Amino acid sequence: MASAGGDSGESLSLNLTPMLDIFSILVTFLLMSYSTDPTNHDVDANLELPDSVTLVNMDEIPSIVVNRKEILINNKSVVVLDNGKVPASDIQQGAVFPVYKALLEIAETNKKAAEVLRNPASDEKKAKPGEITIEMDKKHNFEILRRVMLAGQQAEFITFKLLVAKPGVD
Amino acid sequence: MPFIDIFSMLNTFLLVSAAFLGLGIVEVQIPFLSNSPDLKEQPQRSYSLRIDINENEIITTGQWTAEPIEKSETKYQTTDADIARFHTDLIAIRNKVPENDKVTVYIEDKVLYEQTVKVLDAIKTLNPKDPPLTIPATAGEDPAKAKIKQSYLFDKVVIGSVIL
Repeated sequence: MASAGGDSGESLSLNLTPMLDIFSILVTFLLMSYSTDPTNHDVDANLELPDSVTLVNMDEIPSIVVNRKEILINNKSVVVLDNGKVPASDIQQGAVFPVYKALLEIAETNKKAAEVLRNPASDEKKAKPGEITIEMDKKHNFEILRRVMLAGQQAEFITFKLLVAKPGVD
Repeated sequence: MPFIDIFSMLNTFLLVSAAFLGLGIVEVQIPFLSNSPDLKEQPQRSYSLRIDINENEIITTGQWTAEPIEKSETKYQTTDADIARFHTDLIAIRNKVPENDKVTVYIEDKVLYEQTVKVLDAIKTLNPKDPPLTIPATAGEDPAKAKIKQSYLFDKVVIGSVIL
């Protein structure tokens, strides 16, 4: 038993059994919810994800983040939102132009990587159009998503994975 | 005392690395133009399902592409109860026309992202409490693929409003 003494000469004893009980329960709970999934991702502090009952787990880190203040591509701010809207100066042909430019670079990089990895014996002649994950604040309206998706479409991304919060941790 | 030290260290490590929020994805597609030839043989008469989402309403329009067209339109409010009714009706449509696994969704600009995801969930995800789909397995189909097919209500969701 641990004990602590004061100036008065009285000694206090600390009962460690309840603390050990708490520790054991906490360790058991944390070990059960511990995930070894390599795609662990910290959600941007400036956004809240919408809830969803989807059964599909996140499989890649989001490249596009639309938080309450700005749009980030690979953690680099490309557009600062004006009252939750894309400034008119950043819109071209209905799409967010800085997002298009950044996604075009990613698409080019992906294409080069696909060329290197492609099996010459394979019949596949052309790389499939790309997929990209979007993390967006739930209070934004569809207009922003539409403009971001349009920028993606122009950069040859046609499948979008919308990041959502699942009610229970599995 | 070493036992408590180990517990403290383990607790700290696990608390720091714990993921308290489960992350998932909802996959959608957008229309795109391709100049490659369409290798799939299109059926002469197929069912097309369109869903319009605005701030207060969800409108489902289903019709066949050839006579008899049998067009049907149903309106729902954006309340949780009505979204549940919308989901149940979609299950009935899917069972009635099992060969159609595609939905085209048109969303108004003012609709909140939160609301959009809620409706997409109702379109795509089959909940454990829902009755199983009565989709016949295609001949020679991979059983794993068939199982995945059964876990989605409508697998392909195309956001039709994302177009120039």
